[in-house]
Amino acid sequence: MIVAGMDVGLMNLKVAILEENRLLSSVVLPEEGPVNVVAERAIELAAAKAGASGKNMNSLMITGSGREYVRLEGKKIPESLALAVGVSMMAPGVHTLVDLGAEKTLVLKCSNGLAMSTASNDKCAAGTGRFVEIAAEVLSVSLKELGTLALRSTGRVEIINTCAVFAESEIISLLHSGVPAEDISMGVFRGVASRIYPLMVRVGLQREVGLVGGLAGSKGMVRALEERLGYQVVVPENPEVIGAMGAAALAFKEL
Amino acid sequence: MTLVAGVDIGSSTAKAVVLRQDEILAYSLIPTGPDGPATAHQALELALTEAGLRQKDMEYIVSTGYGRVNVPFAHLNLTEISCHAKGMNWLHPEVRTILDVGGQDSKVIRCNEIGKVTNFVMNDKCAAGTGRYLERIAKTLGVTPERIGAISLEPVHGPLPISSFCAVFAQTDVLTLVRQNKPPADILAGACEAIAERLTSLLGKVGGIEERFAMTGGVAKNMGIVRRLERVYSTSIVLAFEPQVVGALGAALLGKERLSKQ
Repeated sequence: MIVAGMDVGLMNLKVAILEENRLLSSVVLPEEGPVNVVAERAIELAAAKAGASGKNMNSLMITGSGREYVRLEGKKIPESLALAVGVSMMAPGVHTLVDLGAEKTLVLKCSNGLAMSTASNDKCAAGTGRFVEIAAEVLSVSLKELGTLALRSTGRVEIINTCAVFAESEIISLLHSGVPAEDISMGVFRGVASRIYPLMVRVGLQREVGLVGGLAGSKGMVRALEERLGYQVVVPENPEVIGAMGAAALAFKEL
Repeated sequence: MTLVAGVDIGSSTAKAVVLRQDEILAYSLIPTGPDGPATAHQALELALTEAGLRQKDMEYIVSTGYGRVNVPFAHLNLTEISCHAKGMNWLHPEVRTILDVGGQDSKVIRCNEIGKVTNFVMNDKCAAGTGRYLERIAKTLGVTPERIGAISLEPVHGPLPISSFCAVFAQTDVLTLVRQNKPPADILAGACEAIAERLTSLLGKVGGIEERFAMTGGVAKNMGIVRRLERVYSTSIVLAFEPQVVGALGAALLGKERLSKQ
């Protein structure tokens, strides 16, 4: 039984293909162009990677902020459901999950594949991937390089402004006054962590804390979050496709 | 004849006003650069040159605004709140509510008949409802900020709602609309509506407006915003001869007062 799960984010579309409970393949595609075209291509690519064909999917389940725009045959479910299942498969000890997306941050309290409470920010760029992207642009580095730079930080810098627009000006000022890019980078990740922290408290912070989403792969982000919490954070394998995996697992359950 | 100057270092624009007794001799407006003291100096020099004077001719200099502590040659620095109230009261004593919308913050100042501040609320944490919001959208559309107002008042079909109040996300919303070939005028109309809404919300925090209602700051020059707010409050908004120098003017006036007390 081959099933597919799709997570339509605000910037990237993810597909995961499962056979029973085993991950066969996954794909992450930037949403450039009409979302349905990207969706179909993502399925084809993931299926090919899995050694199957897109037409042989027994079932497809779709999640993500942009799921309503996809016109494919498949049930639609909220991200919290998909993420709770996904993280129970990949990191069952996690009870507070942070999904740091491009334009939305979702935090959920979960246990045994169920989401118990959620808190999110999708109205304000602070604490989302967009904030980090803006900072990376100012520093003229890629997102990945920003994470690497942050790890080399020696001096402590805090970005006072929560707002991404004002933080951008603040970063320019810091650069102008000679503050090293490494320290500024770490300051940026600290800013994101301090914006996420209240959301974690709101759902009832409980260890282990897990981080998924596009920025989960950034060591600078992980370090900033661990610094804020005072303990280690769990980053499951393939953190960007946890939602898609959870959706696929739910598709399998429904069969 | 007392010669005083007021310097208002905003986050986006620095302003200076040179006052001789009760006459404005000159004023200047320049973009705020990363070097605060240099900007302050430049702004003052520009106004002084126009007035045919030099810094040493000034008996008192007061600084205000975001960067007021970074003006080394100022005798005193005062908050922009009191300076705005003072400046507006001198120009238009009938004003009781001032909405100041600058590059990076927006504030509402309630004042009495002698220009004393009676209530105040500010947003300086979020770019929504500030000049930055509009600047970013204008940039995406390839329109200069000064033209936004006029263009927004002539939509082709009507304002296109911008659902995000966040300046960053609104920029993405605008990009999407641009890709859908929507008319820029309609997009700008939507953006101005969004800002007007944010500002109405801020005004609500001091209990709405008490007439007369005035606007200051760079965004006061945006007729798209001014007209929309006039519609919301069924009023005619008071605008200074140069809405951006009200703070610097107030600073100069308060400097003159200090001098007379010495």
